[in-house]
Amino acid sequence: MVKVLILRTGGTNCDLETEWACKLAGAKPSRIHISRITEGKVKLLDFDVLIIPGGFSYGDDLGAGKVLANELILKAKDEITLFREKKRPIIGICNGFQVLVKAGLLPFKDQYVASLVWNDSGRFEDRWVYLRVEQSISPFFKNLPEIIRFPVAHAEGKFVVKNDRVLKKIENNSQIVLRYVNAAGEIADYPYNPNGSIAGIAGICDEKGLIVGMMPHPERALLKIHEPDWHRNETDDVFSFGYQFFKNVIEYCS
Amino acid sequence: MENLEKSYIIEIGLKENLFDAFGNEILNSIKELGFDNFEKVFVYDVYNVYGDVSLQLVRQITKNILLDHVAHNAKIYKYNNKKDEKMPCVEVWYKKQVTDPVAMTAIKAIKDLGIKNDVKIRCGKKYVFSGNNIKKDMIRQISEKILANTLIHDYIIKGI
Repeated sequence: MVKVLILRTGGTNCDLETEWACKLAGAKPSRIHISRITEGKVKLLDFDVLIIPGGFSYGDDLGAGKVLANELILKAKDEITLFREKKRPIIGICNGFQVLVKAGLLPFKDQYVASLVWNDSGRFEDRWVYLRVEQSISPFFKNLPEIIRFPVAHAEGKFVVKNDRVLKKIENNSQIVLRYVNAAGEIADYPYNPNGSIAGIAGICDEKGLIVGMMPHPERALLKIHEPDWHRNETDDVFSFGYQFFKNVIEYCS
Repeated sequence: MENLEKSYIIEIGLKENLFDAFGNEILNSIKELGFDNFEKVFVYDVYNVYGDVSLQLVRQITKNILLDHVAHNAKIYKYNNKKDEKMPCVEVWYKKQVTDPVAMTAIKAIKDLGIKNDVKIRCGKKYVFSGNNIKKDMIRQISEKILANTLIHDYIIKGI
């Protein structure tokens, strides 16, 4: 059975939903506090997938995800490096995405060329959004329709890059996995793009496609009844788009 | 505020090319108060670092913990309560006897970095205003009604 490590720390608050998502997709998840790893009591390499879930690690006091990112890089760098060298998936959702970017794991190894900053609205944006699944190098977005919906819940989700060259490189490498769009699948401004992200970017992957970060929450969109208008759309389907995402990750490791 | 003396201030602000959403929200609130002469608000995170610190250590803390190299600019200077500011501004700090949770996180991050010095930090915000005919009393009203909770915060108006 595929073993998933769901990383917890002070302020993590989406670990239970992520655990349930992994179980539903057929994996064996464990919610592990960062200190268990930094103290050497749990070995990251005993797991097949690392997921950094959503929340507000350390209150996001010094910038969203920054303190946890530093902790990972300063205290568990060798394990993280080996984990990625063994081509095991690392998934960052919302705060986890912020951690991966600020740890220099996304979009390129050890390069700090992107960030996630305050939403242009100046507010916490908590609602469902339309997303376009891009043709990317990541294997985790197959068997999904072109337009899907996930909820977002963040204040610091505006994806920015150091310069235009970085954006071009991410686009040319097909590292963009999700973009915010309107219902017709077109890139559009607020409110469709909830934070003002450049080029509507909602999620990216690394150069191998196995480290993925996204602001939307697939673990909150597992079942059809999670969707806001489920009672108006009669269907025999039980599962929603988030389930398919987790299934793809688990199947990749099987 | 005696602890702020003989110490360093790290000032972190958004790069000019990025939209300051937080500053914009505060500007909207200021206009709702009836002050239409304010044109822009620039918001900075300010960290007062003191204790067993040198300029080199403060630079290390700034670079490795506080600064987002893509989104932020940083400025480090010696704290001076009477420092001349070019523009009207207000600094908002926790009162000395109030727990400063952000500082606690910063101390944790400093320890993670392997720094063993007895570093002390106080965290605050600095709001810089641009506009026409800005008066000290306007900033006092804005500070007390929008920016500071005077039960737990001290505020210092400068540059005017």
